[in-house]
Amino acid sequence: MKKEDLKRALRALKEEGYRLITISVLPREKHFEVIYHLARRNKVRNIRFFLQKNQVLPSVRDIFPNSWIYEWEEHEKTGIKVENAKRLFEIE
Amino acid sequence: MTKIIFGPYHPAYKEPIGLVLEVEGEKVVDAKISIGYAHRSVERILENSKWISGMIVASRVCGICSSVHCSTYCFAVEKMFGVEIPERAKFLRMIFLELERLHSHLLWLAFLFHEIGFDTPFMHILEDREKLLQLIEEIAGRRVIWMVSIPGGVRRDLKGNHIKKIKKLLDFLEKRLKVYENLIKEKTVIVRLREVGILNKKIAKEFGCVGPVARASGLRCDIRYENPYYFYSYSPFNIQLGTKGDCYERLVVRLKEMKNSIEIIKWCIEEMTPGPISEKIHPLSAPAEGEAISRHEAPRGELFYYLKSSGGETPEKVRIRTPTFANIFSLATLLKDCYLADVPAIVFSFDPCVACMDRTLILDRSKNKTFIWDKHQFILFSRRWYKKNYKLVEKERL
Repeated sequence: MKKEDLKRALRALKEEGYRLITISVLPREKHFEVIYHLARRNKVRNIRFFLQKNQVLPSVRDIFPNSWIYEWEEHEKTGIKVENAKRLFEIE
Repeated sequence: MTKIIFGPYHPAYKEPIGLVLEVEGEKVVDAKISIGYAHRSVERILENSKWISGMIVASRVCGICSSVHCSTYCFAVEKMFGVEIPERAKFLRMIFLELERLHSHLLWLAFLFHEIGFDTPFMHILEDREKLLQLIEEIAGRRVIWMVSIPGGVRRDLKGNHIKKIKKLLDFLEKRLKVYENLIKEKTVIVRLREVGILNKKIAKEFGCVGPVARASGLRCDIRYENPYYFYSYSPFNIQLGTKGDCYERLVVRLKEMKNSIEIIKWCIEEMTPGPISEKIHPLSAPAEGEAISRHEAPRGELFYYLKSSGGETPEKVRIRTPTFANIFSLATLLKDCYLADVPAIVFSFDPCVACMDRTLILDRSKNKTFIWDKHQFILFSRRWYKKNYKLVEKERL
């Protein structure tokens, strides 16, 4: 799946009434497996996206505003690079 | 411009967060949020635990709602192993989950009254909760981290006069709930909570809010309603919704939920039939390759577990999304344009486990001075402010 296709798929699901539960990232040897968990009532959809380790994950903040908190958490846990990653605010 | 910084302190608490408030006079102009100071890598520990013993780790994610974490993990493991738990185990899990909701909401209610300056109900509610905790200790063997659910069922059954004691306590709590319902009609409670921290339905949906916070805004977001597990679809469960989404609605929704929890427990006790309480799963067994998703309604909202197996003795991937993590994002937007004295009530109405409220650091940059407040001083400030400005807000909120 291409980056544009990922956003298109997520936007279509949002229009159907799906909400983002969370994002999981599975680090593999040469790539990351990114899973977007979405739910509508009793239906749960897992959208899988494969990303090479040197590539940057497109942020889906424009579609699901709450995604940045999950994107940043996965970045800190797995080292995946996220587009325009927004650090959770640091106390000065 | 004055900056007020909350936390993060006490990493021993489960979710210490940092809040930076920019204040102009009495109003909060901007609020920023900082989390992740007590990340214990529970998911990583779970990935190194055996499938069955992982429930010991899962129960320790949260001290207040440990039972729901344990049940949700077990539910996912049972899906992986293709095990259907016995009927009696389902009823018992429902009873324990609802008892947990009751004690969690009672704790929240007690502390909410404390935050807004009602210390007498705070004492009374904690006394009522203590009776509930003592009963739980008698049934489950522990006051906290009960670990009643195990993969395949439950590890403890109701014995002897447990049912009689539960019924007696539920009748007592029903009477007490009526007292609390009258208490929240008190004029001062209304002035302190109504029209404060309004989260409208659109924002709640956009930010993915869950639990009583979302339901108070009118969002039908309850896993017991959306995707009923165990016997919730047959039980007298009713989704409790609010309309305005202010702090007062969050209080009303939680009170109604407690009432409904009592009805559900009573129904479970009536419908429960004797039988086995667990199916055996070998402690060292491993499921086939695959994945499982489990969602339960915790006292604070939707709890999500994702487990992935590659056929090994331990899970390949574990992902947990707790309800506070989903809700905390919208808190920063709510704190904008509110009175500084309303901050404790708004933050607490979300029911986060915010240890950061323990101490408050105030930076007055114009005077180049730093003040340090503890939680008690902040609450005192809030109470004094309301004594002075009661009439100012009374007209707006009554």
